[in-house]
Amino acid sequence: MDVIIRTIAKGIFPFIILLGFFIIFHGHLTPGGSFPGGAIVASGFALIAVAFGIKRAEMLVREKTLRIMEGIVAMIIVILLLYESFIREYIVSEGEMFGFWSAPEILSLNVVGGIMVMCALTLIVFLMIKE
Amino acid sequence: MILVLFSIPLIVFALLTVYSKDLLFSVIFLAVVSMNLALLFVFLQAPDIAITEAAVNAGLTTLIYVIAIKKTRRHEE
Repeated sequence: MDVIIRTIAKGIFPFIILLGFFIIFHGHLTPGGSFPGGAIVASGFALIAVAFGIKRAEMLVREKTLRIMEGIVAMIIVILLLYESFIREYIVSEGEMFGFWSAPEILSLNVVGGIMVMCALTLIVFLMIKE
Repeated sequence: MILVLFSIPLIVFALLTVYSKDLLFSVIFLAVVSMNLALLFVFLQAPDIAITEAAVNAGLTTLIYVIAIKKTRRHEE
């Protein structure tokens, strides 16, 4: 791509990642959650991959790393759900309302799901470019 | 009233998407349609759907269409 797209992509990439992780980490307080936040982070990586080419994007995160991370995160989400539903036996905690640490269980599920969505969508874009 | 005000550019850009000969212009018009739809969802008091629409349809789908056009031809015959 040309120099305008490259300059804008280089400048706007950290802010896209920051917005995505903000939406993931505030999923229990504000609208949004794991899926929109993960899609925003994945679109940031896809923007770098379209503007600079697949080699520059693989310097940030490699395809093999994405596959391994997605598998590990899926294992973690299964373990978390089993722990929450069979060992603690209730899923919503009683914290201070509307604080950041008001529901750490839902926060952990949101973070794990957001990382899984980010890995899956980035992997789709990378495989489509390599095809 | 405000729904009509946001629905008119939605229809106009959707027609431009269908009838444009350059496929890259079509993709950009589709992103504009998506942003209009997200604004409409905000005014209909569904901010969750608005965030998802803006993230997936205006961000990720546009990039996937650009990759697909880059691998095939740009102009429609």
